[in-house]
Amino acid sequence: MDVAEQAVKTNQVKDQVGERCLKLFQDFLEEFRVDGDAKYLTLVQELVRPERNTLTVSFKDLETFNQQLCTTVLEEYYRVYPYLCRAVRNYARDWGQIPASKEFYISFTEVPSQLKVRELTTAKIGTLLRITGQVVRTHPVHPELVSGTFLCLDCRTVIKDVEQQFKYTQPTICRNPVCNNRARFMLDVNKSRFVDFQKVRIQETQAELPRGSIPRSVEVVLRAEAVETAQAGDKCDFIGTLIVVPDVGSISTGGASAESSSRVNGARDGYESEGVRGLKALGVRDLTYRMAFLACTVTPTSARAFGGGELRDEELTAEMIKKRMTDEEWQTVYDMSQDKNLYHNLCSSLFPTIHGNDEVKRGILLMLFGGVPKVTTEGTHLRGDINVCVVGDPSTAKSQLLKQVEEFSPRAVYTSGKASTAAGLTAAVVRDEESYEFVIEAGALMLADNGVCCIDEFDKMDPKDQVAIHEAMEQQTISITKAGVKATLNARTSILAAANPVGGRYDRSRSLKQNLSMSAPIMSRFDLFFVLVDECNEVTDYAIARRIVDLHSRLEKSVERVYSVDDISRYILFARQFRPRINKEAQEYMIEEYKHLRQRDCTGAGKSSWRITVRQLESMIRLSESMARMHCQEEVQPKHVKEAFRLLNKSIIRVEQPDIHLEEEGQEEAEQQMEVDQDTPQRESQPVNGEREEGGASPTSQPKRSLKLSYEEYRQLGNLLVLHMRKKEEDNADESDSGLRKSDLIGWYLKEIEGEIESEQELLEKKTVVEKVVDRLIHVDNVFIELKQAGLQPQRKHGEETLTRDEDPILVVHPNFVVDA
Amino acid sequence: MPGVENWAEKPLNIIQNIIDHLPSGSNEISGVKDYFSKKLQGEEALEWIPSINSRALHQVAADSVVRYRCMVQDMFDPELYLARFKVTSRKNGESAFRSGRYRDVASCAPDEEIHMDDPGNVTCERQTLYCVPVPGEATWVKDLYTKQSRIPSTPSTSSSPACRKRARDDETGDGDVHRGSNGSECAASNGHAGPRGGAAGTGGNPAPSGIAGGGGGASQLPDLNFPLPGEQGTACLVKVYEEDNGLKVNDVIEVVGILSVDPSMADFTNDQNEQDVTMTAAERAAHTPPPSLVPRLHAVLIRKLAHNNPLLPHNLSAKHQAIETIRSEAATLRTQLLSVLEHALCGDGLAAEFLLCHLVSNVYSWADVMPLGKLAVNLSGPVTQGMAPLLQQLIAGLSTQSHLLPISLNKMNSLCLSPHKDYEANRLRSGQLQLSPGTHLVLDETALENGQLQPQGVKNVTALGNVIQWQKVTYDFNFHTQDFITDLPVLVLSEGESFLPKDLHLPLRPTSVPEDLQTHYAGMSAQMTEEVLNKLRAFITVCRSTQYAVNEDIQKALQEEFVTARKDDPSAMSVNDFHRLLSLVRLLTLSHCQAECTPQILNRVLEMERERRSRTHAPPAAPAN
Repeated sequence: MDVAEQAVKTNQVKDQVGERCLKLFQDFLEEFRVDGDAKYLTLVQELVRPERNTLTVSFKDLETFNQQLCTTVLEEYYRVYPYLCRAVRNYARDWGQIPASKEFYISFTEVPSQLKVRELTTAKIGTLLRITGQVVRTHPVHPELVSGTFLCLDCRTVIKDVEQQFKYTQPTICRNPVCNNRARFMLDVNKSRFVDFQKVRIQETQAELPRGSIPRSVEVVLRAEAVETAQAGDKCDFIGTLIVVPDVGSISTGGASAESSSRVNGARDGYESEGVRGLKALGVRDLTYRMAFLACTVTPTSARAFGGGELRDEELTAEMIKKRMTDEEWQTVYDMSQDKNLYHNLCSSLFPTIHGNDEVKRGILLMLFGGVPKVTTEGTHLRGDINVCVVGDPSTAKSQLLKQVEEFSPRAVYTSGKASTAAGLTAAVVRDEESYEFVIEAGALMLADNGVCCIDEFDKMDPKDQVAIHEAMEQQTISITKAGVKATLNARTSILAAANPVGGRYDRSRSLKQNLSMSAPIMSRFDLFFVLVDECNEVTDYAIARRIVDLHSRLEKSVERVYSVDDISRYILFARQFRPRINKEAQEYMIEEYKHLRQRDCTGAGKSSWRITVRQLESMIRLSESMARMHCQEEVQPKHVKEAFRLLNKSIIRVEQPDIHLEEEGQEEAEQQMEVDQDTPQRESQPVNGEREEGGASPTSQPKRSLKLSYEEYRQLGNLLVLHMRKKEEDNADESDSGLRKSDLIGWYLKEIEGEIESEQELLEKKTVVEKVVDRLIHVDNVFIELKQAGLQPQRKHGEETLTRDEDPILVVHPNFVVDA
Repeated sequence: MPGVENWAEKPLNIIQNIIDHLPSGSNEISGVKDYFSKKLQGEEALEWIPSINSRALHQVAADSVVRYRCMVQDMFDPELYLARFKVTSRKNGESAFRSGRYRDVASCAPDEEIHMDDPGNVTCERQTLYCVPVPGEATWVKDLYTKQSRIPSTPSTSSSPACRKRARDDETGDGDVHRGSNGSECAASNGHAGPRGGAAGTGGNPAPSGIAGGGGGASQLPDLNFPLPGEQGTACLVKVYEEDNGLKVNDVIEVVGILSVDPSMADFTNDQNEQDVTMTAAERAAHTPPPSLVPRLHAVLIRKLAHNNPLLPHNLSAKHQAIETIRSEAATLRTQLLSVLEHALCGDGLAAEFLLCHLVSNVYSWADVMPLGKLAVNLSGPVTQGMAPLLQQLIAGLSTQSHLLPISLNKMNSLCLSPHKDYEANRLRSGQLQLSPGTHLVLDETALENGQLQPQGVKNVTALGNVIQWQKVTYDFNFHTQDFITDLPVLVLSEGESFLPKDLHLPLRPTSVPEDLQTHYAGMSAQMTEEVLNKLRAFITVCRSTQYAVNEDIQKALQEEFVTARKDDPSAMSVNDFHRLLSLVRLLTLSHCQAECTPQILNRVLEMERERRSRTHAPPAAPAN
């Protein structure tokens, strides 16, 4: 567009390129067809409506229509923009009743060339670009003068169509040849044309920010229908071009020389002023300019995913992601998906400085991949995010795990429970000090929307405050009703919490719940629980020591990774686009496993135990989906369920009674045990039948059998034996021999569980277990009474036998014992 | 030195000359850089350049080469400038291209005309850094740098704006290029003497007080955004021409560049009803402050300072007389320093040793998210009451940068320790935790009282905890936060064990409790002559930067230590304890100015740790006598 003097000149030079574009573009609008329909005809016809003035054109359409035109628009966007707008106007006039003065604008979508804010350099001025940024400031919408009509104050001549750009431009001289007025004009507002104009400032997004730098910002100028589409805080894609505006101070010179050229625009400054600035006329000039981005299209986005980008982006498809990657990046992703050892490699690359704790790492990895969020037919949202809680002794690298996750994913927030209140985590309503308006202040959970919220020292949070995040954890929203503000805000976040056990150290003789000061509802909302115990073991101690010494002495590059962090985040982003469905076999398998869990739950000491509920089933589904996603598969297969089940089993929360140590005396074996349960003592609490399946699922960590049973398990076994005994006693009521020999009882039990035993070794193990249980029932719990030779046996003839078989006494159930299953 | 005179005082002519003679197509910036780095070879050459750290602005000629030692506080958006523009003489119609680099305003004679839109003009980008004097820099550092300057410091007699103007005109008036100073003078006298008068008045003091709150035009003065309250000095807008300069926020740099204080850059729009759409008033104040207060500096050479100790050469790894001397006297200096610290800690030798380790600590590497090499010490005991300011003074006398932060409830609730972005002014508002690497932070927890911690207070306490534990400061960008890594050794003084995280907690066991700490500390200064102090200062810096290695044997011994300690009781040595142990081994080695750990040092560390443990586990004993 031109400055005033050009409008006055009669022999204005025509821009040939522009004119050509105008023609071609008009052709495009008329001729471009999708499925035989002129795609843009209906769109243009809508522009007849008084509130509409912008035509949205897909750049891809233009590309398919005319490659050359497309290139010209891309490279000389700013130059041809007015012509494109004119083409729209011409086209619209052909098809509808359009008032003559109505201006039309064009906005492009799907522009391929995407740049970072930091990459906006002088070389890019004038070309069509797409940038992504976070809107940090919006200014009110103003009318901008597009074309002014002036009245000469000397001779009353009307001067029409003085084009304006950014800057208020009066005619240089009155049209009337006899009038020499150069300065005294009046703008006729009614006859001038205006357009909505808004300035917003955007800032480099966090993902694009180089380390140690302050985010850069760019002023964005929005016009016409693009105004008011961006709000502060939004992340938006802007399509448009880079333009140059002179810096303040240098704009209004006394007219000694021509102002900037038509392509280097003056800022939309107010009325020219004399005064101190007159000194500029003396030959002093600022040499600085500012850049601004003139955007024609604004689309909200959370895109631009790479380089440690967002962990998720629901609108993207895997195809789109692939397109955005360079060949090299794509190759890495492909190679990764083919990696047989992917699971392990990812784990070790994610946490290279943390020794051991493989299960926790796996859990966190699956958390990063996440399950598939679903919406039921009733419109209920089912979360796909996996919440993980890590419980453990002090200095077991819990904080480091959390920090690492925070470091790894940019949309992660690390916060400490000690230093946060519920308001700090969710959202608070605060009265703005200046405007006295209530504003909602985002808490950590909201900030981590679409990411991970790491909460350290979760147990230190006030239970009241823990309750406040219930909603966020299950519904993934935060509701506020405070001070007249009512809002529901998104908090689609996974929660990774770390907690210290009550009393500082994890007491293994007590249950998880007793070890944690956490309410049951909160606990149930975690999909996975991991317990880290600071175990003492020479071999691992050496390994740990070695690692730390290496770290400190810099002997080797201690951070070894199979995959770089960027590779992993790219891979995760890609993999997250998969929405695996659970196939038939997996479904059946899942049902089977769930049934097992339920049964175990019901037959156990029901009233005190943690109920295995649908929540756990949901967790299992999420974890299975996440496993499938990790392998970039469209289907959840039984093997995925297997691993999910294994992890879940390791962490299923049950309010257990202390584990029953069946051989307190066996020091040696106890030590063996220690070695086994490095990180997850729950493993020991596996019910016997669960254990069997688990063994198949995790050949890597075949647990050694230990002679320890959960209280529940013990009760269950005990009850079984008691019931059998009672039955026998009833059957033999008339017989005098009402007891049952211990060996018979054990033999009966082993026969009962015969189906579940696979190997001889297992049989022996089971035998020891049941023997110990019986012993305990006799000596500790006094449920069974041993009938020995000196006892009350009525039958003497058996007495002798008893003497000889001292090891195999006759047992009877204590008459007062009540089975409480 | 005529040669020096020439390029140091009229650099723009030289630059024009260099650029004119460069073969076309070659990089103009590196050509200029080469010229100046040749001129400035060797440490001494720099000392001939006036430093605007120590000299008031009016004592330095405009458009001359100056030095500036500073910390990058904020990075502004890049700006475009005309790197080459055309001027035509109105007299004879001749036209020529001029370089617009290293200057803010185009230069041309009154009878010349600038063509802003000539097709031959070249626009380029440059970056603007907002720099402030190194926060928390000790006075001895400033004094020594001033002393080292070879430029005789002229007593500042001229403080009136008129004199100042005249002086500058005399220097530049007879130059072959006519600058706009004629015009600028009238601008200055045209009713704008108000704010400028205030500025010049403060500029007249030997140490220009940047904060200048007391000045008459205080409300007019822009906020200089120093991280620490009460700091003095000149803030500067440094224009950087090189791309990919690798500079990060909070870096301590030394800039050699061309000073630009042309008053026409000052912003006068405040007085007018003009509505400027591109910038808000707050933004203007932040980005175009009056050049008399915040001069522009067009950087020719920039170097990052690894340390800020004027007693030592820039490059510590090179062989140098001063470093060798320190190394040879290491043992004596160490004992001397220990005795000073012991005295300061009321005779607690163990604490003195730990404090020494703390003084030489720095983050030397990052293992992923874990900073290595830091040692945050918490000294506790009743005797710490009132000790923090004195101890901080002592540390300030020994190390180059330090800062005392009393943790009182009021302060925690009202201050904003972490920097945050002000979108109104589009700048990063500094906080007290925006410090350059190596700044000793002394936290005085004895100032704390019972009460309610407000949300702001919680934020501040979290921020302090993050610095201590992760060496990270979270900058608040309103819509998101960003962690910036830092390297601040933190010393916490508290009555009981501090509520903040720490690497090491040691209850003080003073051998004697002085009646009055003030006089107790004053008693120290007798033996602390400037000469002794300088040696100790150099010693600490040298120790800090010594390269460290652990040999196989010691590594084995360390591992053994870990495993055996855990054998009996896993709680006796946690992973964190082991990290601390390794840090201590390194720091104690460094404090001997040695590069390699010896078994003796290892044993000493173990001994120290044992003693410390016995103290932390035992109930606080009444101080002896």
